[in-house]
Amino acid sequence: MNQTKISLLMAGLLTAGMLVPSASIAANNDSATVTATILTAIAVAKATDMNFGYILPNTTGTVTLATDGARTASGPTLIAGITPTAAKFNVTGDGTATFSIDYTGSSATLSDGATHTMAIDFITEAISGAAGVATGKTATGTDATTGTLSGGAAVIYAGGQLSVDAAQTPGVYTGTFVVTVAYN
Amino acid sequence: MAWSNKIAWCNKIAWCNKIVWCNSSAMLAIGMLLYLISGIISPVYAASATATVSATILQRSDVAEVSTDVSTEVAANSWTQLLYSSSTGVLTFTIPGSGLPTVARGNYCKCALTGTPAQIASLVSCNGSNSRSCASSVNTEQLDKVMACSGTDSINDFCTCEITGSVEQIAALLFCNGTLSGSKVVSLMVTDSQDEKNNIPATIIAAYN
Repeated sequence: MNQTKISLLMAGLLTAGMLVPSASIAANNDSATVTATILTAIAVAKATDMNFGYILPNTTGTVTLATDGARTASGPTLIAGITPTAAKFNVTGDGTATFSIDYTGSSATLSDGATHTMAIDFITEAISGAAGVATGKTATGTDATTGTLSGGAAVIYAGGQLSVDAAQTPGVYTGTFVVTVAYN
Repeated sequence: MAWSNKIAWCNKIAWCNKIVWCNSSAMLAIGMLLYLISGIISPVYAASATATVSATILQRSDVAEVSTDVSTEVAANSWTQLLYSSSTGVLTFTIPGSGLPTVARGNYCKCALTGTPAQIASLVSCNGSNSRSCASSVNTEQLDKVMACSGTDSINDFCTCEITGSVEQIAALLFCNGTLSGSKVVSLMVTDSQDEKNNIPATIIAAYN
C-alpha cells in the first residue's frame, strides 16, 4: 500500500468508529430519587429510682417489687415507712421506631458497702407512649429486650426480686440499674 | 477501571482518561460522605441512663415492742389513739400459748379487720410458701371476702371487712404473716360470737419503726 491508501483507510476507520459510539452515547437518560432520612436521636432518661423499702428479714425468702411498684414478700416481713418504687425510664426518639434494650452494667447484687450482699433479679417491661402505664409484672427471667416508640416516646419500668437471708445484716443496700437503648 | 485497562487505546485518548479519573474521584467523594455521615450519626445511635436501686434491712431491735391485752387496750381507748396517730409501724398479733391457739374447735369467733385495703392485703399476702402454711387452713371464701374489700388508702376512709371462721383458721391467718404492716396501724378485735363475755384472750404487740 502506498501512503495515500493507508491515510484513506485510517480516515475511514476513524469515521466509522466515531459514528457507532456516538449513536449509543446519545441514546437516553434516566434519573433516580435520592433520599436521606435524619432520625431524631434516641435518648433515655431516668425518671424514678428503684426502692424496695424497709424489710424485716425474720425468714429467708424473697421480696418482689413489681414493675408498678407493688411489693410482696415470701418469707421476710415488709415494713412501712418508705414508699416502694419501681424504676422508670423515659425513652424518646423518632416516631414509631423500634429499639433494643440492654441492661449491661446493672448490679447482680445489692451491697451495704461492706461485705454483705443480696442477690437481685430485675424485672423489666417496655410500654409504648409517653403515658405508658406499668402492668405490674412480677415474672423474672423475661426481660424486655425491645421496645416500640409511639409518638416518639416509650417508658421502661423495672422492678426486681430480692433474695433476703433470715440473718441478713441490717443496713441500707444499694446497687445500680443501667438501661441502654439503641435503634434497631 | 478494569474495562479501560483491557482496551489499550483508551489510555491514548484524553477524554477516556478523564472519565476514569472522574469515576475515581466520585468513588472517593462518596466514601468521604459516608464516613462523615457515619461520624455524625454514631454518637446518637444509642443512649444510656442509670437508676439507683436500694433496700433497707431492719433488725428486730429497730422496732420497739409493746405488749398488751386486747380488752385492756380497747377499754383504755388507746387502741383508737394508736389507730389515728401519725405513727407508722407494724402490729404483731399473737394468741397466748405456743403455736396455734388452744381454743377448742367449734368455739367460733368473729374477727373484724379494720384498715386500708393495702393493710388488709398485707395480712392475707401470706398465701403460698410461708412456713406456717396458712393457706391450707384458711377458707378461701373468707379470704375472698377480705380481698374484695374496697376503699381508698386513707386513714379517714376505712374499709371494714369481716373474717368469719374458726379460731384456728383466723389464728392461722394471723400467724402466717406474723406481722401486719402499713402506713397506719390496723385494728383487730377478737370476740366470741356466741358469748361476748368470753372473749378469747389475745395479746397484741404494737411495734413502731
